[in-house]
Amino acid sequence: MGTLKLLTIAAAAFSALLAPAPDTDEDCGNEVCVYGTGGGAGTWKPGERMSRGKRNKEAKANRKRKDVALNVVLEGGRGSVFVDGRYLATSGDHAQRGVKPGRHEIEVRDAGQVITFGVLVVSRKATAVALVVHADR
Amino acid sequence: MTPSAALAKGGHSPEDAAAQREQIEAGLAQDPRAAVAALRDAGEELGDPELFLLAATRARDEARSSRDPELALEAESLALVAQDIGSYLSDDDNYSATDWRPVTRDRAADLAGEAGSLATQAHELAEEIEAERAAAAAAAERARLESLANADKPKRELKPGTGLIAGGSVALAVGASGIGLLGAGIAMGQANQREAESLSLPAELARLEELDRKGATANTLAYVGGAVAAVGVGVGVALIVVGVKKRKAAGPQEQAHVHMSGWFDHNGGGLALQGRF
Repeated sequence: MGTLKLLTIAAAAFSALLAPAPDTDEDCGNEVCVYGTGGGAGTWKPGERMSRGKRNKEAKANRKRKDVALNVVLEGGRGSVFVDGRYLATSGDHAQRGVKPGRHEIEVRDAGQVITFGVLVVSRKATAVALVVHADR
Repeated sequence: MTPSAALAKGGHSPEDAAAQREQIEAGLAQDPRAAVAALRDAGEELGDPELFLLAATRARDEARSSRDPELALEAESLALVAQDIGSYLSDDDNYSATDWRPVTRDRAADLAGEAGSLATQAHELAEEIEAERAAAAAAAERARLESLANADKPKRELKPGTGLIAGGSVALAVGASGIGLLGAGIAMGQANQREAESLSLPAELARLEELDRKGATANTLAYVGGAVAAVGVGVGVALIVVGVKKRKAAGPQEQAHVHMSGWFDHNGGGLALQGRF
């Protein structure tokens, strides 16, 4: 092994020691990306819906788990976000909502046009999850 | 600590939402902007489209009276959120799948329509106010440029002797009218004289006396006309001569001149005056 190669490996190892361990997890599809902290994020299942019964069942199953802070950010367009049927602001003091781990239906719409909808499965390990919707993709 | 999920507590009915709205509206500030901010905050917290619609209406009204385009755009943004929520809840599947129902489904559909119209109005209002501001700014800029141009432009100064020449011209015009009177008096007198000489006396003595009176009037007219003509022409010519001399003395670029001409014929006489001052 040459001297130059040894130096390169040593520099890479040193950099790795200095860099903080990442505390985020992500699942980024084409239009929607999910980011999370606390050791987990979640997964996005586009095009899925949840009936009222499924929502109630999911809520009952996870009622004793800790809340996860959920934010939904909309980029590249305007619209409003609905989490399990309820409006969630995308900015300001009320742009974060505590949700239980598990499945949550999310829809983003601009008036009569649905930009995207699907089910977000929030990881039990996550403490906070951010869903970023790229309306322009 | 994250906000607790109200959905997990059993949802929200149109009746609950109406009671909450009543409370919120009762506590609103008098200041329209503060009221809009409070309604927006409550709307974002509760997800109630009626609160967004109310906030949008108040913001639009205040923007209209205060001519504030930013507030008009905020009204549009609020109305669009109300439209989004109304549109979402007017969907049968969405409405039946949620426990969060701040309005009935029928009201949600109506509200979406109202909010859409309000958003359009607010957008047009913002454009109208911006156009007004642009026009006012353009007018102010035009006025500024005009005042700058006027400040740069030298004030028009009367050339030396202009007053004298103008006064002389007026006097000449008066003199010309005097010449006219003189001519008329002479002509009338001559006519009367010719007629008097042709009369057969003493048969036409009365006519002779009448012609004598007319002749006297004609003579008076001629004397007055002659006096006015003499004074007018004399004073006028003197003033113009002095004025032109003064102007010539001021500099070679001055090109003022006066040209006077007169005429007489069997109908009378006249005086023409041409000048450049």
